Order: sequence, then structure tokens, then C-alpha cells
Amino acid sequence: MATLIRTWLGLGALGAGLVHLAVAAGAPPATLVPLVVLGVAEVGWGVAALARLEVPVPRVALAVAVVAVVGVVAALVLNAGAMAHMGSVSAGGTVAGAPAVPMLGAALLDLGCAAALAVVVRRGRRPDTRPPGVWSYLGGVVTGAAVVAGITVASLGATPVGALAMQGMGH
Amino acid sequence: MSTTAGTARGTRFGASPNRIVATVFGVVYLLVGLIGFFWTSGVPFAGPGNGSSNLILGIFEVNPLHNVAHLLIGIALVIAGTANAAAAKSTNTTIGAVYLLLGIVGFFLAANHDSGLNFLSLNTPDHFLHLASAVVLLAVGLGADRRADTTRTAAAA
Repeated sequence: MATLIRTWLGLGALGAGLVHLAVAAGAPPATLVPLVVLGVAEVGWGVAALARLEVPVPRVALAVAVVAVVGVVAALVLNAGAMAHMGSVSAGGTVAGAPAVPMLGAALLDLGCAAALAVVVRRGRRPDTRPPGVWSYLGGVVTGAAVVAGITVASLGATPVGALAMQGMGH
Repeated sequence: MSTTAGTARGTRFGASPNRIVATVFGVVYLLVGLIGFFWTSGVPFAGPGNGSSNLILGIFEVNPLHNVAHLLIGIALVIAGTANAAAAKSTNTTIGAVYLLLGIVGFFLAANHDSGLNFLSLNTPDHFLHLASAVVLLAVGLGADRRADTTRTAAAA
């Protein structure tokens, strides 16, 4: 099971990183830098998690995932509070100048990673005594890939440039 | 029962996730590349179609260049999948990385559907399929059949 959890962690981090990088492309400068740093870290960590036999730096990764999720939720709550105070209504909402929907998509992936990382940290460095069979492994990979691709494409479609691409489908 | 990922035994087809994935994906992409030509009559070789008649199964948008790319990728995957685990692992990783790039860059190149930048005539289901293919190929290529990789490295040394 540890093998599949590590694979899902890699896929989730890869998806979250891609969304963060895509959002960064249209974000204001103050948000752009942290998003690029987070996105690059997530993609790099995701590839390392897929390629290595153990989850890389699980405690640090858990802390980063939790901070990323809490940061998005806190920014959304603060933004909603500010909007309510001014009496205006925002259709899409933003997280520090970045569109809310893709940020929530990435946060959902980060939340999944945080939950799985909590299991990994709790489990410690015990070896995987029951590695999955070939078909169970492939079933797990395909399922994880479908979930991550679904959330990632939906999130990319909610970015300003991505919204234009989604309109292209109607041609 | 054979085990997987880090501890795959041997390179027998049924015991190698990379060979299975490469062969299955290869056959699917070959078929998609072939049947795609039934939906691309009157569509420019490289450029966006009208987005209504050039949809495989009414879902995935293609043009002749897109079909050729599917055929080449399918051939590469089938050859690697039927060869050995090390070849399948390398091919899956490489094509997975290319698809990941296409899944992201293509998404933004196709932002204006009718622009010349959308030279593969991509639509949203295409992006989903490319991204899903990328993550499956990368996950299996990077994570499974490690022993095959080690064997190849040792043989090369």
C-alpha cells in the first residue's frame, strides 16, 4: 500500500504544482513569486516521490501542504469578509489577486497530499511488507491519474487564459 | 504472484507494469491515429478545424497532423512494450514528459481556438486525455520496473 500512497502523492503534487504555475502566469507580482516557488517545489517533489523508493522529506512536505491549504482558505475568508464589508459581491472571488477556483482546485490536491503524508509520517520508515500486485498497482495509478487530471484540467480551465481555451470547445 | 513498482521481478510481460502500459497505450493511440482520419476530411493538415465535424466519437478534436502524432507515439509505445522492460520504462518516461508539456503548453496555445498556434487542433477533452496519459506514463515510467533500469545500467557499465 505504501507504494500506491507514494505514487498518489507524486501525482497529486504534480497536479497542484501545474495549477499553481498556471495561476502564477496571470497573478500580480506579489503573488507571482510565492506561487512560482510553490509550483516548482511541488512539481520537483512530485517527480522525486514517483522516482524514489521512499517519500522525500515527508515532514517538510506535510508542513508545506498544510500551509498551502490553510493559506488559500484564510485568504478566501479574509477576501470574502472584505467584500461583505464593502457591500460588493464578487462572482469569482480571488486569493491574493489570483482566481479562487483554480486555487481551490490546487488546495484540494494539496489537502489530499497532506492526508496521505500524515499517514506516511505516522507509519514511519517501516518497509512496505505488502507491495501491490501488477494489476492492483496499475489500477491504482490509472484511478489516481484520472482524478488528478480531472481536477487539474478543471482548475486550469478556471484560470483567465484557460477560460478562453474552454470556450474553444464549443466551436 | 508478481509484485510491482520497486520490486518487479524480471521483465516478463505480465510482470512488468511498464510493458503492459506501453503496449496498451500504444495500441489505443495507434487505433485513435488510424480512425482519426475518418474525421479529418477537409480539415487543414496542421491547424484548427471547425471543431464540429473533426471530433473523434464527437469528443476529441483532431487534424491530420494530430493523427500522425498519435500514430508515431503509438508505434513507439508498441515497439518498446513488446521489446523489454527497460525500453518500455524509458519510452513511457519520455513520452509522459512530452505529453505533460503538451497538456499544459497546449492548453494555453489553444486559448484562441482558431489561432494558428493551435496547430494540433486541440480542445478540452484532448487536454484532459493528454494530461491523464502523461501522469500514467510518468508514474509508471519513473516508479515501476526499477530492477529493469538497474539491469540496463549494469549491462551498459
